[in-house]
Amino acid sequence: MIIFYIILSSFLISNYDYSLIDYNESSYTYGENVWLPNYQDYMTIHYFTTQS
Amino acid sequence: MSDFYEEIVNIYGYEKVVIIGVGRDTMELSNENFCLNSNLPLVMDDFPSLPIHEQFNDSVAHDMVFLNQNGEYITTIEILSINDYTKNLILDVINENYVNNLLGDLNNDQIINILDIVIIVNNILQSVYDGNGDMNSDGILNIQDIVIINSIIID
Repeated sequence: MIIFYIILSSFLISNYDYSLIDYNESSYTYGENVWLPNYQDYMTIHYFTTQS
Repeated sequence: MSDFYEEIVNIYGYEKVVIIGVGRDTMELSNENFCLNSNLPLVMDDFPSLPIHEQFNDSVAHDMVFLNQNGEYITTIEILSINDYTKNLILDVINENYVNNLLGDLNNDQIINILDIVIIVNNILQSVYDGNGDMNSDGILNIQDIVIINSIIID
């Protein structure tokens, strides 16, 4: 049953996700991985500071 | 921007909203400026592949990309500065899409069903804690929480 759940859940994963280290020493999550898992069930706003 | 973020959380009460800065590992000055002026998380998009940039529909500098609590795309807004106009734009998007969490509703669709069990099983296997699934408020996700969600579904 658990395997069924895992397979089913793979279809639920959205196209958008990343799990990267937070580099801001002033941040509450400094050194931890964000957006996942720290803000898994959050509305997330991704602000692009440089890319062009 | 972090001042406005504090407003979003503490004044407007949107506790489950986060703004994440997406920098580039080759742009040290820009990254330092972001960190000096904010306490928001900052992640690095690896140059030259820029996987986040590519994943987020080739977003450009100063784009804010909004995703809902299920990780689904909502919209993109260009934010050159934080002023009353841009604050209202951001708050409008949040207000229209923010969902208050129902205990046991892990995918925030306002229904407790088999999909929530799928997610909690996944969370348990990956050792990810989600307070929304902690049905007995013991600080951990385990089989007891699954049993409670299951009971709710059956009832």
